Formats: sequence, structure tokens, C-alpha cells
Amino acid sequence: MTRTISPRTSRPRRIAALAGAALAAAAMSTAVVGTSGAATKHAGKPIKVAIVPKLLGLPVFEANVKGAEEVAPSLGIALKYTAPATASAEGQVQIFNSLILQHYNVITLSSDDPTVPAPVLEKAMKAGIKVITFDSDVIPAARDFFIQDTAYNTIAQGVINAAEKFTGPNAEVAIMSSTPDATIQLAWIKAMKAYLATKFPHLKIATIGYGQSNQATSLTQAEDIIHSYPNVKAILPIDGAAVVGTAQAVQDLGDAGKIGVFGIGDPQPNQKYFANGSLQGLFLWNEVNQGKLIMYVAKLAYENKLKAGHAFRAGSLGTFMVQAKADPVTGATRNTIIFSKPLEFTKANYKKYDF
Amino acid sequence: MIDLKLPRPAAPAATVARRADTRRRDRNWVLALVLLLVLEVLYFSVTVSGFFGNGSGLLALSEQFLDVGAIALGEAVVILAGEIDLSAGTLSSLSGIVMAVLWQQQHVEIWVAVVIALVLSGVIGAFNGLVITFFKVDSLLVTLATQFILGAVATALSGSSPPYGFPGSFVSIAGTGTIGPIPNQLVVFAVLAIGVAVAVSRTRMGRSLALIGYNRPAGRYSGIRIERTVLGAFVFSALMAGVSGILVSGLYNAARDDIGNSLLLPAITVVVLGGVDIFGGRGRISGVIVATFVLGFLTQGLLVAGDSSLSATMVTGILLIVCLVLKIGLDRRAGLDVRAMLRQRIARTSGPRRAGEAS
Repeated sequence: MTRTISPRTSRPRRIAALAGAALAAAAMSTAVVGTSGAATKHAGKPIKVAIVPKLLGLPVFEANVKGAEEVAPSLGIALKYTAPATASAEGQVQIFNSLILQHYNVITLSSDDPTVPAPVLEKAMKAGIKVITFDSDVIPAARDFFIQDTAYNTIAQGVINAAEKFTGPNAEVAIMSSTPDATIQLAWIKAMKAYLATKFPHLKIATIGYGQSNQATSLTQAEDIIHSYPNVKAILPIDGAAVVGTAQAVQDLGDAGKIGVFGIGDPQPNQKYFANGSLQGLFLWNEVNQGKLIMYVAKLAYENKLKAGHAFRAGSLGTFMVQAKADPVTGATRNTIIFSKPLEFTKANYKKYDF
Repeated sequence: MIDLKLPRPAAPAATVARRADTRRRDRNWVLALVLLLVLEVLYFSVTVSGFFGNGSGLLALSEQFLDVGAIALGEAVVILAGEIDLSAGTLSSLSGIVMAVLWQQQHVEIWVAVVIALVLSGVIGAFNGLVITFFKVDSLLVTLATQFILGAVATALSGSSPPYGFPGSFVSIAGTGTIGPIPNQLVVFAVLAIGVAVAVSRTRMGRSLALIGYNRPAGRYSGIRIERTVLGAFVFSALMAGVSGILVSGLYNAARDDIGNSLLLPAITVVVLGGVDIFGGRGRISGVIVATFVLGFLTQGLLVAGDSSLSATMVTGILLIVCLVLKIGLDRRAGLDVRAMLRQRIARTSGPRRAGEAS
């Protein structure tokens, strides 16, 4: 015997109820979640600007957004902050596509990939939207302006000078990077090598470790370096996760103060390493002020007031230059605006910064 | 309750009766999805400016999710047969990278490179299928392993600067071009989707897929060549993954070693939302096709409405759970003992399947 089948009364109604319930659930949850945008009403027609970092929730980008939100109302900008939940170029493309349909005036982004978003950004530019990249660029044809964090050569010099003061000119150092193909890290390593060759020829790079932008991997890589290269007097981690991993390794192996750690990263996640002496120096730029600059550039670009080869003023931040030509020393490409000289964070000043 | 108590083989008459019954319910599920799709599109068209865009805007939005749809078509066939293909996402990446690298570094004509990438995808699918059928290793494990291999190969091939900037004709045909208001990608997907739907529901091979997913020993007794059918399903899934990789590369005018990886889970979501039983044996391709658009337009609608991608992802999860709970609820109201079904399914997908095959 097979099981009895209950009579199906009013099937269409049941289907309708089911579909309706699912849709209602979808609509309700949207209402609850809402948006993370900080749109501000402004007298006159506000400039609709979106800021799209690589992903949501990364401290450096949150600091950018904080700065941007501070100045946006005074510039007549209605700012929206949105990004993929994980660093994904395809996720960014979907967001850019939706921003085009919402008729944004300016899209600012830190790109997860140099080429994948290019077609959708070109589509945005054709629709009259200004496209401004910051931190991580796309191919120059797919954006109007790029705000580069800092010149490659100056940040490399900052790190090397600080390390040399610790080790002396005749020593070995090691570099901890993210992945072997990371564009910015490769450029920084190249700039460091160039500077070492001219300024400190007897300061040798013993090895380069790769922490894969992962704190745990960075930790084991740094421990391996300390064990395998006993002559290394300083380690230079040049990626956020590498800084944490390296400082932790130095602390765990009891080498705080014996092996110097000088890197590129933000001070707030590394406060305890500064405090216990396993981290001596970090270099970065002021992320909050960079966020402000992004908004100034967005407004000026929207008003067509930025010209290659000309300087412009960004409120209290000062005067900046739109580079007309590529420069391999600083890393600038066409229509690049270099944001700042690197800031140095040490045990003396790390508490002053909240990023 | 003879068919539930006697482990194997299931009594054919009872099986036939039950299958007729589930077929009816599956058809109703597809109708419910169609209704959901219509309501959803109406809702967003009315409330979200920029979503409908005189119809052409709506059609253009489909470009954003048809890559998921292509993988879902292949995945549906494999899941129907009671297997799973976890390598489809990375294979999609690899297909795009192989095409791009052949074109850029070996100067192969782009369409020849496309054909080579698809043939390679098929060969990889055959490899998956052969290991699964000859060595009787669970497809979950085999494709989990090939997934890692393919991802590593894709990364190695792409190097530090993956190729981009393909010839205009390719970008237009496989990527962003349109015929009137209809995106080319939608045309490609429609042809594939209709082909798969017909092949699965109207051909002997297609029907045997669902039967071996439902009850493998019964399939064997009715003379189905199980190994050959499973092998075919994996080759097909791999081809669809390959196609998806080409479509993505065309859309972005760039290849990237991990571009397809994020497509796998949405594709499996679409298959399940479309009413295909994750343990195999039950479901319709038409449901999967409709579910592609239900999920795709939902995500795009929320994004165009200005919601963050975070809430769009969350709504996807909620929708999936709500739909699955409703579906199980409907099955229960129809008088099916869900717990008995689950027990039977587990028995079907673990021990007895292999015991049956060994005999």
C-alpha cells in the first residue's frame, strides 16, 4: 500500500500564499537591514558621490570613510558608502552597475582588480559619471583620476632609514611581504632595493618572506626567517597582516628589542607591540585626511575643475598636483594625485592615531 | 508501507506511483517560482527607479547573473543524478584563463582559443567522471580535490598580470553586445537552457539521469548504463562551467584566476531553489532556469534600490530557507512522511548505493 494523499484544496491559493510569504520576507528584511549610506540633504542639488572600497569593515577604509563623511556635507555632497562583504572584483562590478542605474555623479573606489571592473567603469564614464580611484588603481583608461596613497620612493626611504638607524649600515635585514604578485608590495620592494643600492650598499636583504596577507601565515614565515637567518637584525613587514605576524613572532621568540621591526601599516591594530617593544616603527599615510581629499577631488572633478599638470587646493589639506605624466620613481601614472608623504608612527606617538 | 519497509529494491509499482505524485508537486513548485518572479519584477519595477529601464534595462541586468545560470544548468544535471560537482567554479576560472593566455601569449585566434578552452573543460569533466565511476569515489571528494588542482593551475597560468583587452568582436558576442534590446549573453543562455531542459525531460538519457539519482539499483535493473550516464553528466557540467568562464571573461573583458570561484555556491543555491532535490532524483530544469532569474533579479533589484551587497546576500539566504521550509511543509501536507523520506534518502546516498553497485 502506498501512503494516502491528502486532497489538495485550493492549490492556486496556496501557491500564491507561498510566493507572497517569500516576497514579504525579502521585502521586510530589506527594510530592517536598510543601507549603510550616509546621504545628507543639502540645499540645492547635492552631488551624489559613492565611495566603494575593496570590502566592508577594513579599518583603513573605515578611516577613509570617516574622513569623507566629515567633509561631505560642507561640500554639498550626498555620500554613500557601499562595498562587497568580501574583497571581490565581481562584487564591485555589480555595485558599480547599480550605481550607474541610480545616476550617481561620481564613483570613487579602491579596486580589487586592475582590469575586471574596467568595462563597467568605462560605461559609467560614458554615462557622464566621474570615476576616481584611490589606494588601488585600475587601468588608466577606466578612470578619470587616481589618488595614490604616497610616493613609492618616499615610503621606501622612510622604512629603510628607520631600519638603518637601528641596525647600522653593515647588517642584514629581511622583508615580509603579502604575496609574490601584489602590485604595491612589489613596487615598494623595488624602491627599497634601489634606495639601498645607492645609499646603504652594505645593508643586505637576506630574504623575502610571503605571509599571504594572513596573520597566522605571516607569523610562521617570520619565525622561519628568525630561525634560518640568525644574522638578520631587522625585519621589514610591508603588509598589514605581515606587521602583526612579524611583531608577534619577535615577541614569542623573546627577541623584542634584539631584532628590529619596521614596517608599513596602521598603528591601532599594533598598539600592544609598540607598548611591549616588539615593534619599533610603522609608516603609513593619514587615512582620515585621505578620505577628505577623496571628497574634494570628487567635487572638483564633478565641476570639471581638475586639469592634468595643474595644482588645486583642497581646503585645509593644502595644495595638490595632478600629475600629467607617468613617473616610475614615485609610481604615478597619468592623472595621478599623490596624497601625502608617509607618516611615521613610533612608540612615542602611536596613541594619537585612531586607525 | 511496503516500499518503505523493504530496503531494496523498491517495488516498481509503488515507485512509479510516487514518482507521478512528486512530478505533480515539482510542476507546482515551478509555477510558484514563476509567480514569485513576476511579483518580484513588478515590485522592483514600480518601487525602484532605474530597475525596469523601459524593459531594456531589466534585460541588461540579466548580464550580471547569467554566468551563475550557466553553471547552475550543468550543476543541476549532476545533482539530478545524485552527485555533485564542486569543481565547476574553479573550472570556470580556468577556462577563461586558458582562453586568454592562449590568445595573448600563444597568439591563437580568439575563437580557436575558446574552442580549446571548452574542449579542455570537457576533458576535465571526463576525468572527474571517470575517477568517480571507475574507482567509486564519492563525487563530493573527487571534485573537491580537482577544485584545488584547477584553481592552482589557473593561478599558475595567469601569472602576476592576467590578460585583458580582448578583440572587440569577442567582447561583443560573448560579453556586452546586444541584439536590439536583448543582451547576447541572454540569447546564449536561452539556447543552452532550452536545450538542457528538453534534453533532460524529453530524451532517454535525460530521464535516466533522474532515475539513477532516485534509485540507482532500480536504474541498473532497468538496463540503464549508469557509469556512462554519470560520466556524461560530469562532462556536461564541466562544459557549462567552461562556457560560464568564457561569458565572464567577455563581460569583464578580462580574465582572472579566481573569477569563477564565487559562482559555485550561488549556482548550487539556484539549483536547490529551483526545486532539484540536493540528494538527486527529483527536480526540473525549468525550475532551475526560473530560479536563476528569481535570485538574480532579487539581488540586482536590492542593489539598484541602494541596499548594500551585504543585505542582498542576507536576503538570498533568507529566501532560500523560507522556500525550502515551505517546500518541505508542502511535502508533509501532501502526506509524505518527511523523516521517513530523509532516512530513506540517507540510506540511498550512502551504504546501499555502493552495495547495490557492487552486486
